[in-house]
Amino acid sequence: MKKFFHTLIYIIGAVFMLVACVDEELPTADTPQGNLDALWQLMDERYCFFDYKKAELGVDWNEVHVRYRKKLSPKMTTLQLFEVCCAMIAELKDGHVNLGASFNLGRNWSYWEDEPENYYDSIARSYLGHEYGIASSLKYTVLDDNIGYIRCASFENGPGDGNISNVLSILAPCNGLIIDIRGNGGGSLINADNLASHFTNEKVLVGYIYHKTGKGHNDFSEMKAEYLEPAKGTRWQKPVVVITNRQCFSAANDFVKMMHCLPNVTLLGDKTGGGSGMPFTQEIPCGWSVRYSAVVSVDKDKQHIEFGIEPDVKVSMDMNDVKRKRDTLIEEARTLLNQTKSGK
Amino acid sequence: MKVRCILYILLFWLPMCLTAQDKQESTARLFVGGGFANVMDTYLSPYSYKGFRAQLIIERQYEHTMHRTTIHVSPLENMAGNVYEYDFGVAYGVAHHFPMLKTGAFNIKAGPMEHMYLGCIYNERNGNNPAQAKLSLMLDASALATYDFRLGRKDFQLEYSLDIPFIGLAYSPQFGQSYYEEFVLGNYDHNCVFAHPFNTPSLRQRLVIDFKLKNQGCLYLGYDGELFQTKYNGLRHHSYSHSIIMGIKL
Repeated sequence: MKKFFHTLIYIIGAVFMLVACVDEELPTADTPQGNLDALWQLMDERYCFFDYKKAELGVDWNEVHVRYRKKLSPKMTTLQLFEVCCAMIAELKDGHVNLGASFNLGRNWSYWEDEPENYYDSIARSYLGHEYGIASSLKYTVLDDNIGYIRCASFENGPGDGNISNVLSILAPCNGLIIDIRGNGGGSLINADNLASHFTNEKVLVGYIYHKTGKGHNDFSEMKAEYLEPAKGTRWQKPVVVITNRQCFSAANDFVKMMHCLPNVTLLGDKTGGGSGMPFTQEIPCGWSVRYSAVVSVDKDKQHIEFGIEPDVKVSMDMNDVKRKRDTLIEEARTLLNQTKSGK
Repeated sequence: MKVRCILYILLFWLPMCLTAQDKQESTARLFVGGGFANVMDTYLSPYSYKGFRAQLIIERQYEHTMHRTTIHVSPLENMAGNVYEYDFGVAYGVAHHFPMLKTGAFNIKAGPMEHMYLGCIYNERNGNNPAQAKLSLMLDASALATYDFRLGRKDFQLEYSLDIPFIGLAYSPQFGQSYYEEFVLGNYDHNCVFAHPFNTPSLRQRLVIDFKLKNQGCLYLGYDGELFQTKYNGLRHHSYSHSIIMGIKL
Protein backbone atom coordinates (compact mmCIF):
# COMPACT_ATOMS: atom_id res chain seq x y z
CA MET A 1 0.00 0.00 0.00
CA LYS A 2 2.74 2.44 1.04
CA LYS A 3 4.79 1.55 -2.01
CA PHE A 4 1.73 2.10 -4.20
CA PHE A 5 1.17 5.58 -2.77
CA HIS A 6 4.81 6.48 -3.19
CA THR A 7 4.69 5.38 -6.81
CA LEU A 8 1.50 7.40 -7.36
CA ILE A 9 3.06 10.51 -5.83
CA TYR A 10 6.17 10.11 -7.99
CA ILE A 11 4.05 9.77 -11.12
CA ILE A 12 1.97 12.84 -10.31
CA GLY A 13 5.14 14.77 -9.41
CA ALA A 14 6.77 13.79 -12.68
CA VAL A 15 3.70 14.87 -14.61
CA PHE A 16 3.65 18.26 -12.86
CA MET A 17 7.35 18.76 -13.71
CA LEU A 18 6.65 17.81 -17.29
CA VAL A 19 3.75 20.22 -17.65
CA ALA A 20 5.62 23.26 -16.32
CA CYS A 21 7.51 24.05 -19.51
CA VAL A 22 5.45 25.77 -22.21
CA ASP A 23 5.76 29.49 -21.65
CA GLU A 24 6.60 32.79 -23.34
CA GLU A 25 9.72 32.83 -25.50
CA LEU A 26 9.94 36.57 -26.11
CA PRO A 27 10.91 39.36 -23.68
CA THR A 28 7.93 40.22 -21.50
CA ALA A 29 9.15 43.43 -19.87
CA ASP A 30 7.06 46.45 -20.86
CA THR A 31 10.10 48.74 -20.97
CA PRO A 32 11.72 50.50 -23.94
CA GLN A 33 14.36 47.78 -24.16
CA GLY A 34 11.89 44.95 -23.54
CA ASN A 35 9.58 46.18 -26.29
CA LEU A 36 12.30 46.86 -28.84
CA ASP A 37 13.94 43.48 -28.15
CA ALA A 38 10.58 41.72 -28.42
CA LEU A 39 9.85 43.48 -31.72
CA TRP A 40 13.27 42.65 -33.12
CA GLN A 41 13.07 38.99 -32.03
CA LEU A 42 9.52 38.57 -33.27
CA MET A 43 10.54 39.83 -36.69
CA ASP A 44 13.79 37.85 -36.60
CA GLU A 45 11.91 34.60 -36.05
CA ARG A 46 8.86 35.16 -38.22
CA TYR A 47 9.52 37.64 -41.04
CA CYS A 48 9.93 35.81 -44.35
CA PHE A 49 12.05 38.11 -46.56
CA PHE A 50 15.31 38.60 -44.63
CA ASP A 51 17.59 36.99 -47.21
CA TYR A 52 15.86 38.77 -50.08
CA LYS A 53 16.01 42.14 -48.28
CA LYS A 54 19.68 41.57 -47.48
CA ALA A 55 20.41 40.91 -51.14
CA GLU A 56 18.32 43.81 -52.46
CA LEU A 57 18.69 46.43 -49.74
CA GLY A 58 21.69 45.25 -47.72
CA VAL A 59 19.63 44.92 -44.55
CA ASP A 60 21.62 43.12 -41.83
CA TRP A 61 19.01 42.47 -39.15
CA ASN A 62 21.58 41.87 -36.39
CA GLU A 63 23.30 45.16 -37.18
CA VAL A 64 19.88 46.88 -37.19
CA HIS A 65 19.25 45.59 -33.67
CA VAL A 66 22.57 46.94 -32.36
CA ARG A 67 22.04 50.31 -34.06
CA TYR A 68 18.51 50.88 -32.78
CA ARG A 69 19.23 49.65 -29.27
CA LYS A 70 21.65 52.57 -28.95
CA LYS A 71 18.75 54.94 -29.55
CA LEU A 72 16.90 53.76 -26.43
CA SER A 73 16.93 55.43 -23.08
CA PRO A 74 15.03 54.34 -19.97
CA LYS A 75 13.32 57.73 -19.68
CA MET A 76 12.13 58.02 -23.26
CA THR A 77 8.44 58.71 -23.85
CA THR A 78 5.99 56.33 -25.49
CA LEU A 79 5.97 58.46 -28.63
CA GLN A 80 9.76 58.40 -28.80
CA LEU A 81 9.82 54.62 -28.37
CA PHE A 82 7.19 54.26 -31.09
CA GLU A 83 9.32 56.38 -33.40
CA VAL A 84 12.44 54.26 -32.78
CA CYS A 85 10.54 50.98 -33.23
CA CYS A 86 8.92 52.23 -36.46
CA ALA A 87 12.25 53.39 -37.84
CA MET A 88 13.71 49.96 -37.09
CA ILE A 89 11.06 48.00 -38.99
CA ALA A 90 10.99 50.61 -41.78
CA GLU A 91 14.48 49.39 -42.70
CA LEU A 92 12.77 46.41 -44.33
CA LYS A 93 10.89 48.67 -46.80
CA ASP A 94 7.85 46.45 -46.69
CA GLY A 95 4.35 47.91 -46.87
CA HIS A 96 3.07 44.86 -45.00
CA VAL A 97 5.24 45.60 -41.98
CA ASN A 98 3.40 47.84 -39.54
CA LEU A 99 3.45 48.74 -35.91
CA GLY A 100 -0.03 49.56 -34.68
CA ALA A 101 -0.74 51.73 -31.65
CA SER A 102 -3.95 53.47 -30.72
CA PHE A 103 -2.40 56.81 -31.68
CA ASN A 104 -0.53 55.94 -34.89
CA LEU A 105 0.28 53.32 -37.50
CA GLY A 106 3.98 52.77 -38.10
CA ARG A 107 4.64 52.11 -41.78
CA ASN A 108 6.94 52.47 -44.73
CA TRP A 109 4.89 53.40 -47.79
CA SER A 110 7.83 54.82 -49.73
CA TYR A 111 7.10 52.28 -52.47
CA TRP A 112 4.34 54.59 -53.68
CA GLU A 113 4.73 57.82 -51.72
CA ASP A 114 8.07 58.55 -53.41
CA GLU A 115 6.80 57.61 -56.87
CA PRO A 116 4.50 59.31 -59.40
CA GLU A 117 0.89 58.44 -58.74
CA ASN A 118 -0.14 58.22 -62.40
CA TYR A 119 -3.75 58.54 -61.38
CA TYR A 120 -6.13 61.44 -60.97
CA ASP A 121 -9.39 60.36 -59.47
CA SER A 122 -11.46 63.20 -60.93
CA ILE A 123 -10.15 62.47 -64.43
CA ALA A 124 -10.66 58.71 -64.16
CA ARG A 125 -14.18 59.31 -62.85
CA SER A 126 -14.98 61.41 -65.92
CA TYR A 127 -14.53 58.26 -68.03
CA LEU A 128 -17.17 56.50 -65.93
CA GLY A 129 -19.60 59.39 -66.39
CA HIS A 130 -22.90 59.27 -64.50
CA GLU A 131 -24.53 56.17 -65.99
CA TYR A 132 -21.94 53.63 -64.96
CA GLY A 133 -22.87 50.33 -63.33
CA ILE A 134 -21.86 49.20 -59.86
CA ALA A 135 -21.48 45.52 -59.03
CA SER A 136 -19.92 45.05 -55.60
CA SER A 137 -16.45 46.60 -55.80
CA LEU A 138 -16.60 46.95 -59.59
CA LYS A 139 -17.67 50.11 -61.40
CA TYR A 140 -18.07 49.69 -65.14
CA THR A 141 -19.12 51.39 -68.34
CA VAL A 142 -18.71 51.21 -72.11
CA LEU A 143 -16.42 53.88 -73.58
CA ASP A 144 -17.21 55.70 -76.86
CA ASP A 145 -15.04 53.39 -78.97
CA ASN A 146 -16.88 50.30 -77.68
CA ILE A 147 -14.18 49.40 -75.17
CA GLY A 148 -15.40 48.12 -71.81
CA TYR A 149 -13.99 49.85 -68.76
CA ILE A 150 -13.97 48.30 -65.27
CA ARG A 151 -12.68 50.19 -62.28
CA CYS A 152 -11.67 47.96 -59.35
CA ALA A 153 -10.31 50.09 -56.52
CA SER A 154 -10.15 47.39 -53.86
CA PHE A 155 -10.30 43.65 -53.21
CA GLU A 156 -11.50 44.16 -49.63
CA ASN A 157 -15.16 43.35 -50.28
CA GLY A 158 -15.77 41.41 -53.45
CA PRO A 159 -16.25 41.13 -56.29
CA GLY A 160 -17.92 37.74 -56.15
CA ASP A 161 -18.29 35.33 -59.05
CA GLY A 162 -21.88 36.44 -59.72
CA ASN A 163 -20.90 40.10 -59.90
CA ILE A 164 -18.06 39.42 -62.32
CA SER A 165 -20.11 37.11 -64.56
CA ASN A 166 -22.91 39.67 -64.84
CA VAL A 167 -20.56 42.55 -65.59
CA LEU A 168 -18.68 40.58 -68.24
CA SER A 169 -21.96 39.48 -69.83
CA ILE A 170 -23.09 43.10 -70.04
CA LEU A 171 -19.74 44.16 -71.54
CA ALA A 172 -19.59 41.14 -73.88
CA PRO A 173 -20.35 43.16 -77.08
CA CYS A 174 -17.29 45.37 -76.43
CA ASN A 175 -14.18 44.94 -78.58
CA GLY A 176 -11.81 44.91 -75.63
CA LEU A 177 -11.70 45.47 -71.92
CA ILE A 178 -9.76 47.78 -69.62
CA ILE A 179 -9.42 46.76 -65.98
CA ASP A 180 -8.19 49.78 -64.06
CA ILE A 181 -6.78 48.76 -60.67
CA ARG A 182 -4.74 51.89 -59.96
CA GLY A 183 -4.79 52.71 -56.26
CA ASN A 184 -5.97 49.19 -55.37
CA GLY A 185 -4.15 48.52 -52.09
CA GLY A 186 -5.29 44.89 -51.89
CA GLY A 187 -7.73 42.97 -49.72
CA SER A 188 -8.68 39.35 -50.04
CA LEU A 189 -6.63 37.03 -52.23
CA ILE A 190 -9.82 35.04 -52.84
CA ASN A 191 -11.46 38.09 -54.44
CA ALA A 192 -8.40 38.76 -56.60
CA ASP A 193 -8.37 35.11 -57.66
CA ASN A 194 -12.12 35.25 -58.41
CA LEU A 195 -11.67 38.16 -60.79
CA ALA A 196 -8.64 36.69 -62.58
CA SER A 197 -10.36 33.31 -63.01
CA HIS A 198 -12.83 34.87 -65.48
CA PHE A 199 -10.05 35.54 -67.99
CA THR A 200 -8.76 32.03 -68.60
CA ASN A 201 -10.28 28.95 -70.23
CA GLU A 202 -7.75 26.56 -68.80
CA LYS A 203 -5.89 25.85 -65.60
CA VAL A 204 -2.74 28.01 -65.64
CA LEU A 205 0.35 27.96 -63.43
CA VAL A 206 0.56 31.46 -62.00
CA GLY A 207 3.16 31.16 -59.23
CA TYR A 208 4.34 29.40 -56.14
CA ILE A 209 3.64 29.89 -52.45
CA TYR A 210 5.50 28.82 -49.33
CA HIS A 211 5.67 29.63 -45.64
CA LYS A 212 8.04 29.64 -42.71
CA THR A 213 8.41 26.37 -40.83
CA GLY A 214 10.67 27.58 -38.05
CA LYS A 215 12.55 30.48 -36.52
CA GLY A 216 15.59 30.42 -38.81
CA HIS A 217 15.71 32.95 -41.66
CA ASN A 218 15.79 30.06 -44.14
CA ASP A 219 13.30 27.71 -42.50
CA PHE A 220 10.78 27.41 -45.32
CA SER A 221 8.36 24.80 -46.53
CA GLU A 222 8.70 23.50 -50.07
CA MET A 223 7.29 25.75 -52.80
CA LYS A 224 3.79 24.69 -53.76
CA ALA A 225 2.52 25.53 -57.24
CA GLU A 226 -0.39 27.95 -57.42
CA TYR A 227 -2.83 27.49 -60.29
CA LEU A 228 -5.53 29.75 -61.66
CA GLU A 229 -8.62 27.69 -62.44
CA PRO A 230 -11.15 28.91 -65.02
CA ALA A 231 -14.32 30.36 -63.48
CA LYS A 232 -17.61 28.52 -63.90
CA GLY A 233 -19.43 31.70 -64.91
CA THR A 234 -18.87 34.05 -67.86
CA ARG A 235 -15.31 34.01 -69.17
CA TRP A 236 -13.89 36.91 -71.18
CA GLN A 237 -12.32 35.90 -74.53
CA LYS A 238 -11.21 39.21 -76.00
CA PRO A 239 -8.11 41.34 -75.35
CA VAL A 240 -7.69 42.87 -71.92
CA VAL A 241 -5.49 45.69 -70.67
CA VAL A 242 -4.83 45.91 -66.93
CA ILE A 243 -3.82 49.43 -65.87
CA THR A 244 -1.48 49.55 -62.87
CA ASN A 245 0.41 52.07 -60.79
CA ARG A 246 2.68 51.99 -57.75
CA GLN A 247 -0.28 51.84 -55.40
CA CYS A 248 -1.28 48.36 -56.61
CA PHE A 249 -0.25 46.39 -53.59
CA SER A 250 -0.72 43.01 -51.88
CA ALA A 251 -3.80 41.22 -53.33
CA ALA A 252 -3.78 43.66 -56.27
CA ASN A 253 -0.13 42.72 -56.89
CA ASP A 254 -1.21 39.08 -56.79
CA PHE A 255 -4.01 39.80 -59.27
CA VAL A 256 -1.45 41.34 -61.63
CA LYS A 257 0.81 38.30 -61.10
CA MET A 258 -2.02 36.03 -62.24
CA MET A 259 -3.17 38.20 -65.15
CA HIS A 260 0.43 38.44 -66.37
CA CYS A 261 0.33 34.70 -67.08
CA LEU A 262 -2.64 34.97 -69.45
CA PRO A 263 -2.14 35.32 -73.24
CA ASN A 264 -4.83 37.95 -73.96
CA VAL A 265 -3.72 40.29 -71.20
CA THR A 266 -1.41 43.30 -71.44
CA LEU A 267 -0.18 45.16 -68.37
CA LEU A 268 0.00 48.89 -68.92
CA GLY A 269 1.06 51.80 -66.72
CA ASP A 270 3.63 51.79 -63.94
CA LYS A 271 5.27 49.01 -61.95
CA THR A 272 3.05 47.67 -59.17
CA GLY A 273 3.83 48.41 -55.54
CA GLY A 274 4.56 44.78 -54.64
CA GLY A 275 3.76 43.30 -51.24
CA SER A 276 3.96 39.61 -52.01
CA GLY A 277 4.16 38.44 -48.39
CA MET A 278 0.88 37.55 -46.75
CA PRO A 279 0.85 39.45 -43.46
CA PHE A 280 0.28 37.93 -40.03
CA THR A 281 -0.28 39.89 -36.83
CA GLN A 282 1.37 39.47 -33.45
CA GLU A 283 2.18 41.87 -30.60
CA ILE A 284 4.81 43.18 -28.21
CA PRO A 285 4.52 43.62 -24.42
CA CYS A 286 3.08 47.16 -24.50
CA GLY A 287 0.16 45.89 -26.61
CA TRP A 288 1.17 47.42 -29.95
CA SER A 289 0.29 45.15 -32.84
CA VAL A 290 3.04 43.99 -35.16
CA ARG A 291 2.15 43.10 -38.74
CA TYR A 292 4.74 41.31 -40.82
CA SER A 293 5.03 39.29 -44.03
CA ALA A 294 4.80 35.60 -43.16
CA VAL A 295 3.92 33.69 -46.34
CA VAL A 296 5.89 34.17 -49.56
CA SER A 297 4.29 34.30 -52.97
CA VAL A 298 6.53 34.28 -56.06
CA ASP A 299 5.76 34.35 -59.76
CA LYS A 300 5.61 31.39 -62.16
CA ASP A 301 9.38 31.65 -62.72
CA LYS A 302 9.92 31.52 -58.93
CA GLN A 303 11.07 35.15 -58.91
CA HIS A 304 10.19 37.50 -56.07
CA ILE A 305 7.50 40.10 -56.74
CA GLU A 306 7.86 41.73 -53.32
CA PHE A 307 9.01 44.97 -54.94
CA GLY A 308 6.44 44.90 -57.74
CA ILE A 309 5.74 43.68 -61.26
CA GLU A 310 6.90 45.63 -64.31
CA PRO A 311 4.19 46.41 -66.90
CA ASP A 312 4.39 45.18 -70.50
CA VAL A 313 3.83 48.75 -71.71
CA LYS A 314 5.27 51.47 -69.51
CA VAL A 315 3.09 54.59 -69.63
CA SER A 316 3.15 57.61 -67.33
CA MET A 317 0.60 60.36 -66.97
CA ASP A 318 1.30 63.21 -69.39
CA MET A 319 0.78 66.61 -67.77
CA ASN A 320 -0.56 68.03 -71.05
CA ASP A 321 -3.24 65.34 -70.94
CA VAL A 322 -3.99 66.18 -67.33
CA LYS A 323 -4.61 69.81 -68.32
CA ARG A 324 -7.05 68.58 -70.95
CA LYS A 325 -8.73 66.24 -68.41
CA ARG A 326 -7.49 63.19 -70.29
CA ASP A 327 -6.11 60.10 -68.61
CA THR A 328 -2.98 59.16 -70.57
CA LEU A 329 -3.04 55.56 -69.35
CA ILE A 330 -6.68 54.94 -70.26
CA GLU A 331 -6.14 56.58 -73.66
CA GLU A 332 -3.09 54.41 -74.33
CA ALA A 333 -5.03 51.32 -73.28
CA ARG A 334 -7.86 52.24 -75.67
CA THR A 335 -5.39 52.77 -78.49
CA LEU A 336 -3.76 49.42 -77.78
CA LEU A 337 -7.09 47.57 -77.74
CA ASN A 338 -8.31 49.29 -80.92
CA GLN A 339 -5.03 48.42 -82.66
CA THR A 340 -5.40 44.80 -81.54
CA LYS A 341 -8.97 44.77 -82.90
CA SER A 342 -7.84 46.13 -86.28
CA GLY A 343 -4.98 43.62 -86.30
CA LYS A 344 -2.12 46.16 -86.17
CA MET B 1 -1.61 5.41 -43.36
CA LYS B 2 -1.53 2.02 -41.65
CA VAL B 3 -0.31 3.60 -38.44
CA ARG B 4 -3.17 6.13 -38.57
CA CYS B 5 -5.71 3.34 -39.10
CA ILE B 6 -4.37 1.44 -36.11
CA LEU B 7 -4.51 4.63 -34.04
CA TYR B 8 -8.12 5.26 -35.05
CA ILE B 9 -9.04 1.71 -34.06
CA LEU B 10 -7.31 2.07 -30.73
CA LEU B 11 -8.80 5.47 -30.04
CA PHE B 12 -12.32 4.95 -31.31
CA TRP B 13 -13.40 1.40 -31.45
CA LEU B 14 -11.68 -0.23 -28.53
CA PRO B 15 -13.17 2.13 -25.93
CA MET B 16 -16.56 1.98 -27.65
CA CYS B 17 -16.54 -1.81 -27.46
CA LEU B 18 -15.68 -1.63 -23.80
CA THR B 19 -18.53 0.84 -23.25
CA ALA B 20 -20.99 -1.45 -24.93
CA GLN B 21 -20.21 -4.16 -22.38
CA ASP B 22 -20.97 -1.85 -19.45
CA LYS B 23 -24.72 -2.10 -18.98
CA GLN B 24 -24.78 -1.20 -15.31
CA GLU B 25 -26.97 1.44 -13.74
CA SER B 26 -25.67 4.93 -14.18
CA THR B 27 -25.34 8.13 -12.18
CA ALA B 28 -25.54 11.44 -14.00
CA ARG B 29 -24.04 14.63 -12.66
CA LEU B 30 -24.12 18.21 -13.83
CA PHE B 31 -21.45 20.71 -12.84
CA VAL B 32 -21.10 24.40 -13.48
CA GLY B 33 -17.86 26.17 -12.77
CA GLY B 34 -16.01 29.40 -13.00
CA GLY B 35 -12.46 30.41 -12.47
CA PHE B 36 -9.22 31.72 -13.86
CA ALA B 37 -7.77 30.95 -17.29
CA ASN B 38 -4.35 31.64 -18.78
CA VAL B 39 -4.07 30.86 -22.48
CA MET B 40 -1.15 31.27 -24.85
CA ASP B 41 -1.00 30.26 -28.48
CA THR B 42 2.00 31.47 -30.42
CA TYR B 43 0.14 31.25 -33.74
CA LEU B 44 -1.88 34.22 -32.46
CA SER B 45 0.42 35.97 -30.02
CA PRO B 46 3.72 35.27 -28.28
CA TYR B 47 2.16 36.23 -24.95
CA SER B 48 -0.35 34.78 -22.53
CA TYR B 49 -3.88 36.09 -22.36
CA LYS B 50 -5.64 35.91 -19.02
CA GLY B 51 -9.24 36.01 -18.00
CA PHE B 52 -12.32 34.22 -16.74
CA ARG B 53 -13.32 30.69 -17.58
CA ALA B 54 -16.90 29.44 -17.41
CA GLN B 55 -17.57 25.76 -17.87
CA LEU B 56 -20.31 23.21 -17.88
CA ILE B 57 -19.63 19.54 -17.25
CA ILE B 58 -22.11 16.73 -17.81
CA GLU B 59 -21.02 13.36 -16.59
CA ARG B 60 -22.57 9.93 -16.60
CA GLN B 61 -20.92 7.30 -14.45
CA TYR B 62 -21.48 3.58 -14.98
CA GLU B 63 -19.81 0.92 -12.92
CA HIS B 64 -16.69 0.80 -15.07
CA THR B 65 -17.27 3.57 -17.56
CA MET B 66 -17.57 7.30 -17.32
CA HIS B 67 -18.78 9.65 -20.09
CA ARG B 68 -17.88 13.27 -19.67
CA THR B 69 -18.78 16.27 -21.83
CA THR B 70 -17.17 19.60 -20.99
CA ILE B 71 -18.02 22.92 -22.59
CA HIS B 72 -15.99 25.99 -21.75
CA VAL B 73 -15.85 29.65 -22.75
CA SER B 74 -13.10 32.08 -21.79
CA PRO B 75 -12.96 35.78 -22.61
CA LEU B 76 -9.29 36.69 -22.25
CA GLU B 77 -7.25 39.86 -22.28
CA ASN B 78 -3.61 40.51 -23.20
CA MET B 79 -1.22 41.89 -20.62
CA ALA B 80 -1.55 45.43 -21.96
CA GLY B 81 -5.34 45.15 -21.63
CA ASN B 82 -6.07 46.39 -25.15
CA VAL B 83 -6.98 43.20 -27.05
CA TYR B 84 -9.40 40.37 -26.36
CA GLU B 85 -9.13 36.74 -27.24
CA TYR B 86 -11.93 34.22 -26.91
CA ASP B 87 -11.26 30.57 -26.16
CA PHE B 88 -14.11 28.11 -26.48
CA GLY B 89 -14.24 24.38 -26.82
CA VAL B 90 -16.13 21.15 -26.36
CA ALA B 91 -14.50 18.02 -25.01
CA TYR B 92 -15.99 14.58 -24.88
CA GLY B 93 -14.34 11.72 -23.09
CA VAL B 94 -15.12 8.11 -22.35
CA ALA B 95 -13.07 6.60 -19.54
CA HIS B 96 -12.85 2.93 -18.62
CA HIS B 97 -12.00 2.57 -14.98
CA PHE B 98 -10.90 -0.81 -13.68
CA PRO B 99 -10.52 -1.47 -9.95
CA MET B 100 -6.90 -1.07 -8.91
CA LEU B 101 -7.14 -0.90 -5.16
CA LYS B 102 -9.92 -1.16 -2.60
CA THR B 103 -9.23 -0.90 1.11
CA GLY B 104 -12.30 -0.13 3.18
CA ALA B 105 -13.46 3.35 2.35
CA PHE B 106 -10.65 3.98 -0.07
CA ASN B 107 -11.07 3.02 -3.71
CA ILE B 108 -8.83 3.57 -6.74
CA LYS B 109 -9.81 2.86 -10.31
CA ALA B 110 -7.76 3.49 -13.42
CA GLY B 111 -7.81 2.86 -17.12
CA PRO B 112 -7.75 4.36 -20.58
CA MET B 113 -9.83 7.33 -21.64
CA GLU B 114 -10.79 8.22 -25.17
CA HIS B 115 -10.85 11.97 -25.41
CA MET B 116 -12.00 14.19 -28.26
CA TYR B 117 -11.67 17.95 -28.32
CA LEU B 118 -12.98 20.56 -30.71
CA GLY B 119 -12.35 24.21 -30.05
CA CYS B 120 -11.12 27.55 -31.23
CA ILE B 121 -9.19 30.53 -29.95
CA TYR B 122 -10.15 33.76 -31.68
CA ASN B 123 -8.08 36.93 -31.49
CA GLU B 124 -10.14 39.99 -32.32
CA ARG B 125 -7.21 42.00 -33.74
CA ASN B 126 -5.30 39.60 -35.97
CA GLY B 127 -5.79 39.72 -39.74
CA ASN B 128 -4.70 36.62 -41.65
CA ASN B 129 -4.12 34.62 -38.46
CA PRO B 130 -7.29 35.52 -36.55
CA ALA B 131 -7.97 32.16 -34.96
CA GLN B 132 -6.44 28.89 -34.02
CA ALA B 133 -8.60 25.82 -34.53
CA LYS B 134 -8.16 23.05 -32.01
CA LEU B 135 -9.00 19.49 -32.89
CA SER B 136 -7.60 16.42 -31.21
CA LEU B 137 -8.33 12.79 -30.61
CA MET B 138 -6.37 11.41 -27.70
CA LEU B 139 -6.02 8.31 -25.63
CA ASP B 140 -5.50 9.41 -22.04
CA ALA B 141 -4.42 7.61 -18.92
CA SER B 142 -7.24 8.16 -16.42
CA ALA B 143 -7.51 7.49 -12.70
CA LEU B 144 -10.29 7.98 -10.17
CA ALA B 145 -9.80 7.77 -6.41
CA THR B 146 -12.64 7.98 -3.89
CA TYR B 147 -12.68 8.07 -0.12
CA ASP B 148 -15.90 7.67 1.88
CA PHE B 149 -16.03 9.18 5.32
CA ARG B 150 -18.45 10.36 7.96
CA LEU B 151 -18.41 13.72 9.72
CA GLY B 152 -20.90 13.92 12.54
CA ARG B 153 -24.03 12.32 11.23
CA LYS B 154 -23.32 13.19 7.62
CA ASP B 155 -21.86 10.92 4.92
CA PHE B 156 -19.33 12.41 2.56
CA GLN B 157 -17.24 11.23 -0.32
CA LEU B 158 -14.02 12.79 -1.51
CA GLU B 159 -13.25 12.15 -5.16
CA TYR B 160 -10.07 12.89 -7.07
CA SER B 161 -9.70 12.27 -10.77
CA LEU B 162 -6.64 12.68 -12.96
CA ASP B 163 -6.43 12.39 -16.76
CA ILE B 164 -3.11 12.54 -18.56
CA PRO B 165 -3.12 12.71 -22.38
CA PHE B 166 -0.97 9.88 -23.66
CA ILE B 167 -1.08 9.42 -27.41
CA GLY B 168 -3.28 10.62 -30.22
CA LEU B 169 -3.73 12.83 -33.23
CA ALA B 170 -4.07 16.58 -33.25
CA TYR B 171 -4.53 19.30 -35.82
CA SER B 172 -2.08 22.17 -36.01
CA PRO B 173 -1.10 24.64 -38.71
CA GLN B 174 2.60 24.84 -39.53
CA PHE B 175 4.72 27.58 -37.84
CA GLY B 176 4.00 30.31 -40.41
CA GLN B 177 1.31 28.62 -42.49
CA SER B 178 -1.81 30.54 -43.41
CA TYR B 179 -5.33 29.15 -43.46
CA TYR B 180 -5.51 30.44 -47.04
CA GLU B 181 -2.82 27.94 -48.04
CA GLU B 182 -4.50 25.11 -46.16
CA PHE B 183 -8.16 25.57 -46.90
CA VAL B 184 -8.25 27.56 -50.17
CA LEU B 185 -5.23 26.14 -51.97
CA GLY B 186 -5.24 22.76 -50.18
CA ASN B 187 -1.52 22.95 -49.35
CA TYR B 188 -1.21 20.82 -46.23
CA ASP B 189 2.04 20.65 -44.32
CA HIS B 190 2.18 18.13 -41.47
CA ASN B 191 -1.11 19.46 -40.15
CA CYS B 192 -2.06 16.14 -38.59
CA VAL B 193 0.36 15.75 -35.71
CA PHE B 194 1.13 12.64 -33.70
CA ALA B 195 0.66 13.71 -30.09
CA HIS B 196 2.58 12.12 -27.23
CA PRO B 197 3.61 13.11 -23.68
CA PHE B 198 6.71 14.98 -24.90
CA ASN B 199 4.82 17.35 -27.22
CA THR B 200 1.56 17.31 -25.22
CA PRO B 201 2.67 17.42 -21.56
CA SER B 202 -0.72 17.97 -19.98
CA LEU B 203 -3.10 16.91 -17.27
CA ARG B 204 -6.61 17.51 -16.07
CA GLN B 205 -7.49 16.97 -12.45
CA ARG B 206 -10.47 17.40 -10.25
CA LEU B 207 -11.14 17.21 -6.53
CA VAL B 208 -14.78 17.02 -5.50
CA ILE B 209 -16.47 16.60 -2.18
CA ASP B 210 -19.84 14.95 -2.31
CA PHE B 211 -22.49 16.03 0.22
CA LYS B 212 -25.10 13.34 0.41
CA LEU B 213 -28.60 14.67 0.99
CA LYS B 214 -31.44 12.94 2.80
CA ASN B 215 -33.62 12.53 -0.29
CA GLN B 216 -31.03 10.40 -2.19
CA GLY B 217 -29.74 13.55 -3.81
CA CYS B 218 -26.19 14.85 -3.80
CA LEU B 219 -24.48 18.19 -3.94
CA TYR B 220 -20.93 18.49 -5.20
CA LEU B 221 -18.37 21.16 -4.57
CA GLY B 222 -14.84 21.08 -5.82
CA TYR B 223 -11.88 22.21 -7.85
CA ASP B 224 -11.26 21.55 -11.53
CA GLY B 225 -7.86 22.24 -13.00
CA GLU B 226 -6.47 21.89 -16.46
CA LEU B 227 -2.85 22.23 -17.46
CA PHE B 228 -2.92 21.65 -21.17
CA GLN B 229 0.17 22.26 -23.27
CA THR B 230 1.30 21.46 -26.78
CA LYS B 231 4.35 22.03 -28.92
CA TYR B 232 3.36 21.19 -32.49
CA ASN B 233 5.07 22.37 -35.69
CA GLY B 234 7.12 24.97 -33.81
CA LEU B 235 3.98 26.52 -32.31
CA ARG B 236 3.51 26.55 -28.58
CA HIS B 237 0.19 26.50 -26.81
CA HIS B 238 -0.86 26.39 -23.21
CA SER B 239 -4.21 26.59 -21.52
CA TYR B 240 -4.08 26.68 -17.74
CA SER B 241 -7.32 26.93 -15.84
CA HIS B 242 -8.33 26.68 -12.22
CA SER B 243 -12.04 26.62 -11.51
CA ILE B 244 -14.38 26.16 -8.61
CA ILE B 245 -17.14 23.79 -9.62
CA MET B 246 -20.53 23.04 -8.12
CA GLY B 247 -22.77 20.21 -9.16
CA ILE B 248 -25.91 18.23 -8.60
CA LYS B 249 -26.96 14.69 -9.17
CA LEU B 250 -29.43 14.44 -12.02
